[in-house]
Amino acid sequence: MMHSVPVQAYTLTCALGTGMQAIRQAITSGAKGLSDEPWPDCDIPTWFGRVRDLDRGMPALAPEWNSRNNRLTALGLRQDGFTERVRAAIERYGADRCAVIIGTSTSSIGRTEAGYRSLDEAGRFAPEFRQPQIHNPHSPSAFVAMSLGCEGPSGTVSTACSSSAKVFASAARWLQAGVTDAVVVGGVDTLCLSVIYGFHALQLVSSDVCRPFDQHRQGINLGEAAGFVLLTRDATETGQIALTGYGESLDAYHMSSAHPEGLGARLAMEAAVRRSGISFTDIDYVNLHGTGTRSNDAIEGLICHELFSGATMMSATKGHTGHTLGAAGITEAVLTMNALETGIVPGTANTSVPEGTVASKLLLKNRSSSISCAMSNSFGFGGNNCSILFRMARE
Amino acid sequence: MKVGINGIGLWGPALQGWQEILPVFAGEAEYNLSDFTAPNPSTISARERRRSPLPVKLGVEVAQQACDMAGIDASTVASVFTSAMGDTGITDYMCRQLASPQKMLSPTKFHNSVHNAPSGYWSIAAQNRSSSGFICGFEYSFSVALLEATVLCVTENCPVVLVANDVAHRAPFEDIVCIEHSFACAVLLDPIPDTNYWSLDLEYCTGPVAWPLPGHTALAKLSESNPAARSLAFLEAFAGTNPTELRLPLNEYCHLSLSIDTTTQA
Repeated sequence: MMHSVPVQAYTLTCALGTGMQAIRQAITSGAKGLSDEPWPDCDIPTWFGRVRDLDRGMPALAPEWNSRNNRLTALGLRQDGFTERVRAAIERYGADRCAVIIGTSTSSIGRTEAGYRSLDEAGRFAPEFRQPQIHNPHSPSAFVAMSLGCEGPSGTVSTACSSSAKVFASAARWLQAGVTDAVVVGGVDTLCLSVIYGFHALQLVSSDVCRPFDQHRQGINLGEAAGFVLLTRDATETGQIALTGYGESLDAYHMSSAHPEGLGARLAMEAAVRRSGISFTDIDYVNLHGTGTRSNDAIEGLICHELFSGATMMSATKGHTGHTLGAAGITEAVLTMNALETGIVPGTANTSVPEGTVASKLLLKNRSSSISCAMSNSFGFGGNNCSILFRMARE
Repeated sequence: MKVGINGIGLWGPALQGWQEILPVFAGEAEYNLSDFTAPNPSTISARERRRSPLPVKLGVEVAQQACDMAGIDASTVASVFTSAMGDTGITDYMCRQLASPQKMLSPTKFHNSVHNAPSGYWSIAAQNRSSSGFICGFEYSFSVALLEATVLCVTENCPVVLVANDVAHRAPFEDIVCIEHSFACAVLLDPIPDTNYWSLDLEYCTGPVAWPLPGHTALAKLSESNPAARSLAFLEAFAGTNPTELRLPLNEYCHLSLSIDTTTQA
């Protein structure tokens, strides 16, 4: 059984809003995060979960750090007093005891794509695109560490759509091993042509709005998000949310199709439950991976129906946010923590006729319920799975 | 944190395994940096091998070498993969296509573009369903992943294979980081430090340090021209019989302090 890891602060910026207040309001009012407004230079008809505040003008970053991904990171770090909470942790533990682990799938590749549109005759980037800190997968963690002044170890996790769920597992281990006293975990991914055309090539992008688990679902809508959580080695106090379990696994089946019986997904959920010392019946709510594709939802629904009792509520929030890929783990971890904190369990946006055995457990509308224990699932390409468990420490 | 090391795999210019680099470390063999042949790991099915890019072939090959040397069943170990730049061949392909009017992408190349592609192919080849991560730190990727793998090994009390690779690239990425030669290595960590060939004691420390270089001139050049090959001074410590102390930078502020020794069982 793992030692629980207290969540000292959390924040999220996604299509639902910039910061927690806007996101809570959007969830409560049923505001739509997804829009069918086209993406620049893209002729694929689909819906996007775009962070609108990012297009409304952001203070310029230093040229060597400039990319849409880092601008979203800067916007996200500024919300909910998150930066101040990290600065206080640095004050308390020392900058060398504060680590950073951020998950991403695309890093700043949108900026690399732009650089390729103006390569010179020798095939080199134009001067404004010669940004070593941008054109590499570690860009998000390096930028977060630099922005916050964290001087401990920093690494970027990139295991496709499980990336920013796995950051919680790595952080829990770093804290347990005593390598650091505080870890800023998070995830950032921004919309770019690589993922839109890539998922389109795999015939997974829906021209309809994303409807997880619906009979008429046609696939994913891509989104963008930046979310951050501060974890420390302290004891969990009453009224605090804590990470109490994580489970990681591989499907060992296919690069881009899930194991048909959901073997890896089951192993991840079982490992998370085992590590937290509880049983499946203790879990009040599951935020499903629920991408909205025909096959993934069918497999996840089947496994979750089998593992959980009828008392567990489930929903998928990609109809709210879009699939934010490497940021999906943190997006859904924060939405799960938000349900623990506010007692408002989100429904499954855009879904009206759920399909399969899981239908009886799937929340279509928000429900008010004082929940204590919740799981979030994230499954990625390469058959890479991660489930994480949070608990609200009540009196 | 103390772990055992009982398997090493590697592949690079004119280097196809641990036994081949030993005489180079010892200065007993001629060594030519330009001679690189891609591996063709037999554990990947013939069909998958045709579609698998160089980083996948390198990663699967060296991971299997490390497991074979350790005499451990590859389906049972957890894994940590790393690369400073990922598959720049695929990044180049995708960005070129997306800069063209059609913007068409191959679905296979797209799914191979994820940084955990070597982990995915390796898991299928080895039928491994354990925890598998990818963590990077640009030019510090090897040391960040070594920290992650050691922490995983110690806290979960399980064997872990650490796999690092970076492949050669040209413009425009040569202006981002120099990678002249492809190189991959793998190290098998075991939670019981005293029953293996070697023991590794690892400590997190503050303060900047520079990357140590291997003694051989051509290997030092290789180390400087590929982030995954920054591991070469670390690997050289396992070639000798004397205890070795060395420091690997984690970033510009902190580093790992390492003590490497042979165990009594060796």
